[in-house]
Amino acid sequence: MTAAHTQPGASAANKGAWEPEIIAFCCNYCAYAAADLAGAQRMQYPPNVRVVHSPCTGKIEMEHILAALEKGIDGVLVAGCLEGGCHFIEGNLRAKHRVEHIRGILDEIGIGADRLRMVNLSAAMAPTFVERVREIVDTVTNLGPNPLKESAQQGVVSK
Amino acid sequence: MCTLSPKLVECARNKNIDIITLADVEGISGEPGNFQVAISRRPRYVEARKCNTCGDCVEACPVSLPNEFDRAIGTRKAIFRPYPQAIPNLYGISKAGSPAPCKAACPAGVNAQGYVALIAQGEFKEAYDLIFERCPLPAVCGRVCQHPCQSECNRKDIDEGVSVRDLKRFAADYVYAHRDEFKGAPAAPAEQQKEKVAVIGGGPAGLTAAVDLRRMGYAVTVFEARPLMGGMLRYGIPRYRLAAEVLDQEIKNILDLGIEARTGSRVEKSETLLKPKTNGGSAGGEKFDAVFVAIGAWTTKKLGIPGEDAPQVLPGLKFLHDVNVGGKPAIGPNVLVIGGGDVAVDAARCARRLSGVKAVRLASLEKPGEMPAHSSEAAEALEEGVEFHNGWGPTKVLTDGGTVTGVEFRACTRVFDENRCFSPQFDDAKTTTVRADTVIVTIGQGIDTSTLGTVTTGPGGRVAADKETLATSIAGIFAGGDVVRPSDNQHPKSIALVQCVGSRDTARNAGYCSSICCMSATKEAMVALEHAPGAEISIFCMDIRAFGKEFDQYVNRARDEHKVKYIRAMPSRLVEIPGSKNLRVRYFDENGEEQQKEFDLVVLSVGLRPSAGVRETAERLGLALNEFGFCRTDRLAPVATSRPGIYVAGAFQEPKDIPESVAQASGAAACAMEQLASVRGNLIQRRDYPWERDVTDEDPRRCVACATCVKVCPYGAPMINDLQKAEIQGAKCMGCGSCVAVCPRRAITLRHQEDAQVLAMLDELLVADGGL
Repeated sequence: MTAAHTQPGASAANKGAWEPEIIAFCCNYCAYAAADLAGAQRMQYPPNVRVVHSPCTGKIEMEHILAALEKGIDGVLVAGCLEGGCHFIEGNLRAKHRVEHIRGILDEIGIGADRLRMVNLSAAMAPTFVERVREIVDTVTNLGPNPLKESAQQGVVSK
Repeated sequence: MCTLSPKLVECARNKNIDIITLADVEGISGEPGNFQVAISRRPRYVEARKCNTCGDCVEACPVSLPNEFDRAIGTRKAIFRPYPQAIPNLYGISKAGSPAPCKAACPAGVNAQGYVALIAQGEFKEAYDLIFERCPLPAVCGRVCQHPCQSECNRKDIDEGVSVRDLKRFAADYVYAHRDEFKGAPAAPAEQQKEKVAVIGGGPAGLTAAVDLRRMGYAVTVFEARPLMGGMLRYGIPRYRLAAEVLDQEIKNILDLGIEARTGSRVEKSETLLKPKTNGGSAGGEKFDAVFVAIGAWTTKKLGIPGEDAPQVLPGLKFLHDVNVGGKPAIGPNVLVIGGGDVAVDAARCARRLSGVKAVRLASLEKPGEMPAHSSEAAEALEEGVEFHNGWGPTKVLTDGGTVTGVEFRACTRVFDENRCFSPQFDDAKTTTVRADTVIVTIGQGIDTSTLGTVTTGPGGRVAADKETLATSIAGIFAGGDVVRPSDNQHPKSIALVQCVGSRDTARNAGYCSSICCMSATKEAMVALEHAPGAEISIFCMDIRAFGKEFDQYVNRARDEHKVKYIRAMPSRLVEIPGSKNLRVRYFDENGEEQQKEFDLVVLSVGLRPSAGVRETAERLGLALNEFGFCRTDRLAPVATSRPGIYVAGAFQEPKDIPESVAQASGAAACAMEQLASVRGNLIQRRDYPWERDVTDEDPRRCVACATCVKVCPYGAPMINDLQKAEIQGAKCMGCGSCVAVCPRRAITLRHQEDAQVLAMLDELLVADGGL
């Protein structure tokens, strides 16, 4: 979270214009540590990302990812350990399957598979984390706002 | 039923309610909070533990009885359940009012079916003892009894009656033959009484009475006029039917109980043996507190025809006596026995066995099948060569110079009249003569009343028991779904129901309101209208007491919709109109004017009375009754009886309907609990609930034990436990949450990462951004 709040100017400067909102589900042992390292190293990356802490990507439930999108989040990043390097042995592999499955669903319902992405990092790979964040912000910016955002704000889709 | 059944089921299911059926409360002792209740239970004849109410027994049972539950309109089997919803849901057998047919037929009331069953099981001594209880002469009866038990045996409907008599003979003979095995005489009297009893007559009656008295503890002395005990058994019954040794054996058994026998001592006047009532009288000789006269019937009735006084005309009993004591009666070669009973056959067969007798003839009024003699005896007599002359009545004994030459007979056309009473008719035109040197008369016996002295003889039979007056039909009952009046089964067009008959009537000591009749009569009226549409129904009442919930609307409906007339009057008179059998009701209307009305049927709403056993029950329990015979209660404590700690509910207190009884019963139960407040919960059984476990991390209702979590977890933390639920073993769990994400039932949660927490976090991130 520290990383997200290091650059508060972006949204204030472009007030009124649309900026994508991204949720990054980060596992405790790799991705979260990498994000923390990025912050400690004062690395710059877009402030559109908010980090949600999770013990393992294996714990990131399909319902929570879909709930985030339902609430109007424009993009979701699932960040776990490198394959074979999961602290909990194979949680990230299950997360990979789960993400692929959800991407299929997102395509099917017209939201677009690209709004969801799984990345694998080690705790030392802060630059990779920054890069991946930039990539998804670009991707989502190109895709435009989440079509559910409006209805979420109007309360059509329950929070 | 609809009100009652759910209550019954609730009671039956409650672990802390014991239902004791077929029980009579014999008495209650103790004080409030600690009573002891003595209960006597009647047998169900079905083992409650084993009966599972399959009902097959009902199919098999051959005995149909009126069904009390249907007011005896329908029938039920002897094995039955009072009604389908009965609690406890068990079958029972109602033994017929009388005992088994064999036992009922036995004049001594010997438990025939009992000893037959015991013999069947090889319990010979027990069978003998059971016989001895009612009949101290088992071996004798086993030989000479007429065995009405056998004739009445149910088995006769299939083939023939069980050989009850022979079984009895066997049991007795077996026990006598194995005397060494069966030591010990029948139980000695429990308690000695100080009174002494004299029994006059050593025959079967005297001996039986002596045994019974001895068992009750009285000192008994038997006076027998003849040199040996046994009476008619010894001197009347021929030896070929009853051997003297058997008789001696049984008499010895009886005397061994401690009964004194004085043979050869004739008692001239029975009352001389009695103790004088006052001390003033001089006590001459031995005196007794009571005398039982069992002198038998030793005189032979006379024929009442000319020539009867000839020396060759012998009374049957005298002949038998002479034969039995070993003498050879002086009889000629041609013997004629007159009579059709057992004595006649005995005499004929005895005569047949005497040397010098060439022919024995037996003449009786009755046709062969009608003879009172036992058929097997008669058949044996026929086999032995006794000649039967049936259907003849003697008119004259022919004599020649004082010696009998024969008997003249006329034909008997009938012996019994239409009512099976002895009333012979003869055809004088048809006569015959039977040649005979000796005539033995056996046409009945009489009592030598001289011994009775001044004792007045009462009616010979038992005191007739009161006939049961249980009415099986009730006036005005709706039989077969039809309203008919009982007198002629006509369908009534106008019906009157008269209220307060025998209630609210101080003149009849029934000042109380019977409570249920107003509503019952209204309901009966409505039901009657359903079955007899268009009938005109009037209810005569002082007022209508419709005090229950929505009762008033019911009465209004009867009056307004069904046109039931409520007439405010008490009929003073009810007269049947001859011919039409209608009833005229006379009453005074509200204006005090006399009115008369005719009805086809009148139903009386008779006030409830305390049930018959109430007084006895109340006495046993020590409860006071009020002046009407209901339980006495105080106005301010309507469930408390006169005895502290005993409470009353229902119609025992006063007439009341079911809802009111139920309400009062709740009150009585509450009062009873008050007594038990200090020990509440001590003796009750509680339901056993399943073993408890920690369900912190899972939702047991969600988990279906699919074992997905077990497969997923790399550490083997989840397991399926005994209750078939997943259980996370905390020590093994590393907290990765993999199982949480894969659980298809979402039954597992991870602390700090629960659904609500994650979703709240997402919301917060959106809001914190200030409306991006």
